[in-house]
Amino acid sequence: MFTLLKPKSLTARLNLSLASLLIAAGLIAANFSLSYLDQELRQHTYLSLEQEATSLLAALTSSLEEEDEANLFAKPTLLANQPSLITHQQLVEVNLTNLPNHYVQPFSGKYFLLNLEDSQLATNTENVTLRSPSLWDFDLNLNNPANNQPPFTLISGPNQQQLIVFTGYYLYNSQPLTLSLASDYAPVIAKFNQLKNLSLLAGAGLLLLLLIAQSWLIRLSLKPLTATKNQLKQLEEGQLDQLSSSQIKELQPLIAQINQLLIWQNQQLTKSRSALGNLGHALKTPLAVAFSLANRQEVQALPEIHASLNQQLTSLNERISQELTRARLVSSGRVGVKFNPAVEVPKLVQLMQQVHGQQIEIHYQLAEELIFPYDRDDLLEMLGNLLDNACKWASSQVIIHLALVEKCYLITVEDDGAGLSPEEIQQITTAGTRLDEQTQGHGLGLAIVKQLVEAHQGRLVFYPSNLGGLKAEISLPLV
Amino acid sequence: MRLLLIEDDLALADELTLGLKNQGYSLDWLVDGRDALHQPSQADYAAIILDLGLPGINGLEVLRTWRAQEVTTSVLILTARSSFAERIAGLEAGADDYLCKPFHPDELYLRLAGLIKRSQGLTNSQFLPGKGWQLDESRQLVITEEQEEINLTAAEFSMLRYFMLNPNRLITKSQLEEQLYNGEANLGSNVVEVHVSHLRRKLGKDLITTKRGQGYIYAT
Repeated sequence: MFTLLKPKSLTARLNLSLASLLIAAGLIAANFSLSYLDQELRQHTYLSLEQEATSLLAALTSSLEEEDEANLFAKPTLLANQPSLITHQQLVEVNLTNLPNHYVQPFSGKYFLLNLEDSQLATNTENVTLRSPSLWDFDLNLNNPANNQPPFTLISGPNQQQLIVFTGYYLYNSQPLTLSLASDYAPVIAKFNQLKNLSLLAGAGLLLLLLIAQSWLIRLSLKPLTATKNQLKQLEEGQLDQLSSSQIKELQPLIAQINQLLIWQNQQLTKSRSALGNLGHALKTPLAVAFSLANRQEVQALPEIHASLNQQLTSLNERISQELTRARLVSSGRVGVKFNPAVEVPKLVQLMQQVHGQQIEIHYQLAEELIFPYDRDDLLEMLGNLLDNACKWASSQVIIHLALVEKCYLITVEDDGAGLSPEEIQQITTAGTRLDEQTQGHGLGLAIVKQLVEAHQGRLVFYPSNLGGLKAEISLPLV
Repeated sequence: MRLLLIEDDLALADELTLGLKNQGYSLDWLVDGRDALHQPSQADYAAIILDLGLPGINGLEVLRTWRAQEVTTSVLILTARSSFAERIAGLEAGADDYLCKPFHPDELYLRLAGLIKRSQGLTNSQFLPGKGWQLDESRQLVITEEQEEINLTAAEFSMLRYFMLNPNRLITKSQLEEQLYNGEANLGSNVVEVHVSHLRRKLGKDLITTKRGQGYIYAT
C-alpha cells in the first residue's frame, strides 16, 4: 500500500497526486453545492408551507365563521372579555370540503394539524386537534418548534415519507391556535440522490478524461527527461562523456552537477590511471636491472639463488603487467579508434615476424570491410598476445581468422605446433596459469587476453586445431 | 662493433654497458634524447639501443627524426611500454626490433646479434661462417673444421667480428680503433696492428690484407 502511494515513476506520482486532488476537489464541490441546494430547497419548501398555512387557516376559519358567525363576529364587545369560543364541537364540524385536494387524499404528502391551545372551554373535551384527512390513521407529532428553523430537520411520515414541517402560532379571537403543516420531502431527496449519482458518474468520466489528458501532458513535458535519460545510458556505455544541457530549467542544475562530477571523476581516473601506469612503468626499469644482475655470472654460479631470483622477478613482472592492463581497461571505457583488421593485422604480422623470425608463415583471412567496433588497442592486445603465443608454439605456420558470424565477432588464431592435451586445455581455460615456465611470458599473455576478453563481455575458448596445434577463439558480442 | 645506447636510467645503463662490453661490443652512452638526435652520424654504429622514456625528447620522436635524416642504422627499442599498440607504433616509427623491460640479458644479446647480422644481410645463427672455420659469437671463440676451439681475447673477438660483418671493404685504422675504444681503454698507437697480427697468427696469414697507409681488408 505504501509503495502504491509512493510510486517510483515521476509520471505515476504526478498522476496520482493530481488525481487525488481532483477527486477531493470534485467531492468537496459536489457535496457543498448539493447540500447548499438542499438547504435552499428546504427553506423554500418551508416558506411556501408558511404561506400555505395562512391561506389554510383562512380556509379553515372561514368554515368556522359560517358555522358560527354570530359567535365570532356578532359580538365584538364580548370578544375582549370572553375570548375563544371555538369548541371541539365546532372544530369537528369544520367543513373540510373546501380544502385543497392534497389535504384530503390519504398519504398525499401534504398534511396539517390544527391544535387548540389549552382553553377553558376546551378543557372538558378530550380531543382538541384537527387533523388533515390526508393523514388518515397516521399518528404524527409535528409540534416541535425546533423544526421551524434551519436546518429544517426532517420528520418521518407515513409510507417512508420525509416531512418538512412548518408550525405557526396564531391567535384566533384571542384563542391561541397552533397550525402545523407538513410536506413530503422524500421525492426531492430521491431527485437529489439521482442528481448525486449522475454527477458522480459525470465526475468520474470527467476525471478519467482529465487524467488521460494530464498524463499525456506530463509525458509531453517530461519528454526532455527521456532525452536526458537516453544520454545517461549512452554515458554509461561510454558513447558520451558529457551530458548536453536540457530544455527543462529544473534539470539544468542537476545536469551541470552530473557533468561536474563526471569531469571530476575523469580527472581522478586519469590521475590514478596515470599514477598506476607510471608506477608500473617506473618499476620495469629497476626490474630490468634486477634481471640483469640476477643473470650475472657470479649469480649464475649459484643455481638455486639464480633460479629463485629469476622466478620471483618474473612473477613480479607478470603482476605488474596484469595491473597495468587492468588500469588501462578501467580507465578507457570508451572506444577510441575502432579496430580495422585490414590495417592492423598486417602490421601485427610484420611485428611477429620481426620477433619470431621469417621461418614461421603467418596466414590471415579477413572478411572484406570488416570493422570491429572495439577499441583498437584492446583488440591489438588480444590478437597480439594470441599470435605471440601461437608463434612461440608453431613449427611452421600460424593461421589468423577474423569474421563476423551470427551475433558475434570471432577471432581465431591457430598453430601447427605440438598442441595441448585436453587436460592442459582445461587448465588454461579455467585459470590464467602459466603453461610453460620455460617460455617467458607465455601464461602472462593468455592471462591478459582473458582479462581483456572478459572486460568486453566476450569469451575465450581453446580447441585442438586441425593443423595439429592449439586453436584459440575469442568471441565478442555485437555492440 | 660499436653500439649506441640511449638510456636515462643510470643503473640499467651501467648493467647494459657491462654486459655488452662482455659481449665484445664497444659502447657510446647518451642520456638525453636531444643529444641523441645527431649522434648516429658521429660514428659507425652497428646498432642503436633506444629507450623510449627519455628526458628532453621522446624516444619515438628521436627515431622518427633519424629515419627522416635517412639514418639506416638498426634500432632496437628498449622500453617499459609493452602493449602491442605501442610496439606497432615503434615499428611504424622505424624500429627494427622491440624489447620490453624487464628482459633477460641473453635475450637482448641474441636480438642484438640477430639485428646486426640482418643489417649485414646475413641469416641469424649462432655461428658466423669464416674461411673454413666459424665464429661462435656467444662463446667468443673460433671453431675450426676439425672442431677445435681457438680462444680469442675480447678485443680480438670484437675486431674479428667487425671484419667478418664488413667483408671485402677497406677498413681504416681509425675505424677499427673506434670499434675497440671503450672509454676507459687507453689505446696505444699500435694497438690495432698488435690485434691484427694476433688474429693472423691464430687464423692464418692471409686472413686480413694490409693496404699500406690506407687500412685493412677482410676478403672472402
